[in-house]
Amino acid sequence: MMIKDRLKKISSNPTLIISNNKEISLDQILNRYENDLSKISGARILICKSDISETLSIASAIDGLVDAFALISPTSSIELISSLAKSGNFEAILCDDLLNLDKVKNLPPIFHDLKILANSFTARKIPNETRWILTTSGTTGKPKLVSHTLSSLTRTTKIDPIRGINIRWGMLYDYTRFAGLQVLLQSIISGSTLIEPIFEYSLEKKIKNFIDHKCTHLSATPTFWRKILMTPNSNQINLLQVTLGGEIADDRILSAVSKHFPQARVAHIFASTESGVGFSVVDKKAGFPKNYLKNHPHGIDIKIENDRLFIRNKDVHDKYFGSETMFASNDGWIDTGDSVEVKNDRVLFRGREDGVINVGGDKVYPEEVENILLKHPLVSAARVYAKSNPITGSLVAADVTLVNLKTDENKARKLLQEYSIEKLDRHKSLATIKIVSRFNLNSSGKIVRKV
Amino acid sequence: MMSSDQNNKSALFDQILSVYRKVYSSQNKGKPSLEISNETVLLDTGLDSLGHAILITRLEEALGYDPFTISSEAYYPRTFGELVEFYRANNPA
Repeated sequence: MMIKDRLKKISSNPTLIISNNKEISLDQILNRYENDLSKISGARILICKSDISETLSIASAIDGLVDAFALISPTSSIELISSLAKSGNFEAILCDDLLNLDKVKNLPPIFHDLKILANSFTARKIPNETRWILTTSGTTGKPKLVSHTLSSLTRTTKIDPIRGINIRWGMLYDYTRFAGLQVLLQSIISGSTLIEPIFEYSLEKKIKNFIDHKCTHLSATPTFWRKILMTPNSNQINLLQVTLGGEIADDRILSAVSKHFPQARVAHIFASTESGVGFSVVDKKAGFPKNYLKNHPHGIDIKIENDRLFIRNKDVHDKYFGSETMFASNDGWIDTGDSVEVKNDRVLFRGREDGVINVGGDKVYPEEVENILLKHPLVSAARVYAKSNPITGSLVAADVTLVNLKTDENKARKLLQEYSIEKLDRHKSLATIKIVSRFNLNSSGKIVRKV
Repeated sequence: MMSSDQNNKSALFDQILSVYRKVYSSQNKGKPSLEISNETVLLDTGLDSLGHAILITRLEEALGYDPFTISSEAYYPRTFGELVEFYRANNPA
């Protein structure tokens, strides 16, 4: 079923989106493009628009007609848009006037208006199902294109229009990214109202907007939730649903949000752009119940192999869009890269298998920081690891041995700290440095990473 | 005259403020921090999440304890005064 048909099924809720205090109705969304757009059939379009309701109108008009459309964040750089357009083999770009893409060379034709874009094409075969293309976060490299369909994106969406009409979701994510699109689709398909404050607003202003418009449901990363808890008045949002995703949710944040929003159901979600929504946990405890390994929550297969978590979701593709690079094994298992441990009846997350440190949602490779440290004349060896932190989940810490054992340790620590701030991005710089006399080495002579 | 409890509190306030100022300056290219009082909202002090994360690490080094690990209560202070009170209430000494 196409998005248009899903929307037509909901009882006509007068307000589908409150965008910057402006109310937008379902009819306004569906009736924006009434002209014949059939020439666009079979095309591959890249959409880069900041207005959610406009994008929703566009998606409703072209889903089921075009072969594929990509949703690209309007905050993307011109270089990124250009490289994504090329790797996905897109035939046209539909973007805001403000983006200034018109003068960039080697791009597919640029349009600001869907009708004009559609008229520039000659109709081709209508696909069985339009592919919705999203980008990965790209915090560890260049963002990649991942292929979904409306059915894979809404696999876990609860549809209950009678309850839905009383629900008001607040949007804190970039709606073009997987987590944001989940919030958008969940809200509109259930006939709920989506409250969208201006993206650039301060958190305080966004929270005021949510209080003013009686927001009931909110989804954000644990780091963002900690910020919400630190914002005065945030407990005046009468939340009935708190969703945490994108990073590991620990017991502390789960219990803090439960206390701050006593009426709310608290769910933490395991999802990624590649694997889609894996599963959610609603018992307000970190990790997930061991019986998920047998019970296939939401029809998902989960397994642990060598302390590593794998997920299999039959609804998703195994390759990046426009590429032969596979992210799943031949039998569909996706390696999440998360290191886990089974303790009694619970599976607990222990961090990343590759040692990647998550600092408030930004990823840090320990090797990168170690290599920078090793370039400093004072340092003979270094081991970089995560130090847990109540605000950002983790910070970067290092154990270091010095070339000259007589060097003043306090001075060395201060110098290395300043050096790391100068040489590295803020989130990668060292929060703590311990000077040690030697490291334990493994049989191949490498520093033992796990403590 | 202040009671000894108030004295302790204000000594702790000054200690935390001095660490806060150092972190602020290291995160803001040497700029001096804004005026801070008990009522100042933490997220308005000019430090973002990462800045606050670093502040808590530095406070652990300076004071020798981390109330976020000690406290059984999952709590996030909102103002500078609440932060100081959280450190006072959870001082293991």
